[in-house]
Amino acid sequence: MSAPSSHLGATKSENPPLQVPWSERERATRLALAGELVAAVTHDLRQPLTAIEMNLSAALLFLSGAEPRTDRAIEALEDIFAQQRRMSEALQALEDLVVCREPRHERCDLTALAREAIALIRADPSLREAPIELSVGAQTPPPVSGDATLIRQALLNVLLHAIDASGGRPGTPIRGSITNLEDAVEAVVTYPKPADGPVTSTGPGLTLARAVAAAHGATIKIDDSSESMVRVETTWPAYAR
Amino acid sequence: MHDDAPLVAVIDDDIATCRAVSRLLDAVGYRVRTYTNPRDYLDELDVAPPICVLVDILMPEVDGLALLREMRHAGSDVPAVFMTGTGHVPTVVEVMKEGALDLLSQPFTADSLCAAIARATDSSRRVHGERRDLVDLWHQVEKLTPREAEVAALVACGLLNKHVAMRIGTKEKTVKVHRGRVMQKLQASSLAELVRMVDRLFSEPLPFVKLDGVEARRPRAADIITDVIARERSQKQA
Repeated sequence: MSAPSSHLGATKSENPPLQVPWSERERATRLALAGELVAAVTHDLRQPLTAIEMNLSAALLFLSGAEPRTDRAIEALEDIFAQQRRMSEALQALEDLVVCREPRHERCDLTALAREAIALIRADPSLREAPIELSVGAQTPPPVSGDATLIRQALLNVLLHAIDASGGRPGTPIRGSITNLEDAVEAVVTYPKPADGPVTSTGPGLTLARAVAAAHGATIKIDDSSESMVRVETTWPAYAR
Repeated sequence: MHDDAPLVAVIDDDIATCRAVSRLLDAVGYRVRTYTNPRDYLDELDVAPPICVLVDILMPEVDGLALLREMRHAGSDVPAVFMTGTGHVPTVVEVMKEGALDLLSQPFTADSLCAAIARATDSSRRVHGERRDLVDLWHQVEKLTPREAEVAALVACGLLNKHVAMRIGTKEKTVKVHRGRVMQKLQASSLAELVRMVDRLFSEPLPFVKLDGVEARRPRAADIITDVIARERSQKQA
């Protein structure tokens, strides 16, 4: 493989300016993407809200009949609790996206996060036809260390960048792959090179991905030396006890 | 719950929504069948068709719009009420253009759901009644011979017996016999009633309809009537 033509990410020690106010910078760029994310997040709130309304109304009807159906009313009320928890999780995810805080360091399954990022894209009707293929290497990758919400966000941004940059060229899918590098896990996204020349602008999405990577000791590199394809390599350190 | 209560099919990949909506519809007196995979519904299309379907627009594999198209392609005219959590305008427009009866934007209220299902139920009963009448008419029309079908169409176009005779190359007396048989076989008590029947055949050129899961095909005599009327009208315009 030829040498990368640009280097978008670095470890904390290699790139100090990203280290100190990274959360502020990251928050600013993340808010710029809020429009794209609001649809996915509100969808996650609308469904449980609807379910709660239906369950509440049903419970009232079951209890107010001439022969109250208490068992059915209890089932409905129990479901309301479940939907309330679901809403709390969605709100927590929203808060994780927009609130300024230091990232958590947990065990994260990069493959699962990549699949969730693809699912988020599929949840957007205007993007659901995007031809994305994900492959996972034969050797199961180890968990990586970091904040699941932020890493998912970074992977999502790389994929959105690939969709934008490739301009939906028919017949050539955007390929994602997850590979075990023993002490790290590599997530690579390959997409058709834009017809109008090399990738010069990385946009706010990749800037955010770079900030997230830097905060996790990860790297993001773009290689556009191939004639037809662009390769975005992200490498995430494996979780260490 | 009565076995003869109207059956509503709820199709949504979100299990919690499916369960909550079906619970409410059960509480207000409907029978409900839920599907988290649209393919399962399509597989059961002919088994006890519902009075209406409540469908989520955004689902993996087969989305609500594709489901509606497949239903219509398979001859199912069950009214569809859609649910959407995204409000994506182009998709909503497509769904309405495909003939969705109603669209509920999540989160919706129990009252709005019940009102939409009641409208769909009314529409379904009206369409079912119209289909039943059409199939009954087809059963009567299929008793006509090709020549009788031709005579029925020409008479309904307002031609006198002697003109009908000239058109089909026979005697006026023979046309009278054919006409009498047409009126008898179609159980038409007047010319006005015959005209109404023929107009209905012309205005609804459906090749088949499904009634209670059973397919009924348009008879050959109905096609003859439609062809003759089309020919007569184009000649008049010329």
